Amino acid sequence: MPKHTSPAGRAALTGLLGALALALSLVENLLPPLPGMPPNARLGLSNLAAMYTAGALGLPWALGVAGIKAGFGFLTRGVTAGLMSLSGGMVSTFLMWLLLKKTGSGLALVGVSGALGHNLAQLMVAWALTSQAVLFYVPFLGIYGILTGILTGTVLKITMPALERVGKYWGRGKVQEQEKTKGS
Amino acid sequence: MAEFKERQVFTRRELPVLALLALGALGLLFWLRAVPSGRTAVLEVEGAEIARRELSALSGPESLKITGANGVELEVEFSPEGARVASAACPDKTCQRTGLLTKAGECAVCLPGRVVLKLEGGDEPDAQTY
Repeated sequence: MPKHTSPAGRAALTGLLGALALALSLVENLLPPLPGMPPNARLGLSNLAAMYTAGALGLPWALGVAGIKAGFGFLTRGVTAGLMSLSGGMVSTFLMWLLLKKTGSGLALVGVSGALGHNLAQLMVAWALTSQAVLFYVPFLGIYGILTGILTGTVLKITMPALERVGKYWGRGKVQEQEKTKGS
Repeated sequence: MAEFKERQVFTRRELPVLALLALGALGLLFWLRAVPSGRTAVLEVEGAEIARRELSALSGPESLKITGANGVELEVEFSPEGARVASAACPDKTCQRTGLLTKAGECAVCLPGRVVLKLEGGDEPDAQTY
């Protein structure tokens, strides 16, 4: 984990990761819905950005990434979509941070807890907005959350070196010297 | 505790937890296959019922236009096969993409309009009491 010395560097990195979350959610929105699943079920790839931020920068910055995503949803798709994004993002980011920082959990379990937390929070909001009928989706969202959570955790492990390079660059600005000493 | 960037995808002691989750998911999937087909379609706006149709009593498709909360307009179609949201005047169209509802408990939800279209009742009418 890079030792970020400047708050400005952290803020810049948070902005970048927020943009990454938006780009990932745009990409996954292009994918067709899976048969048999709720039509708005997503892979949750944008959770990658929040998960990395929670691990590398800490909770406030990770909540910032979730906030950027929710703010964008609020501006482009309306109050309801913004509210759904905000509730899901906050709960899932908090759970992922908790597992990353307070336990030695593997990334798959962190991803699963984030996905399930996201789904649960959104379902609670949907329940509050409409009626109990939405609870029909509980089993689907449970199954889907477990599968996509394992996927997100695995993808984070694979993309970690690339994210670390970005993190080091924006956090300290010494990346070139370090790479030289590594001989890479 | 492993550094964040050195974390593995799985740790050995987590495998039972993940296996248990996967088993639970499979169990739910099998349970869902046994859900009976729905007989009654119920339409709700902001939690209050505004329309109810016995699907088997219909001779053909019946269309119903409603306006939900925030002025969102929906067109709902009931037929002997099931019920669906035929068109929705919102950008997401999540309820429309849900497609035809045929099983008891299934629902199409329009969150901006606070509208729920759901099916009730299977072979045993009491089975859907929550």
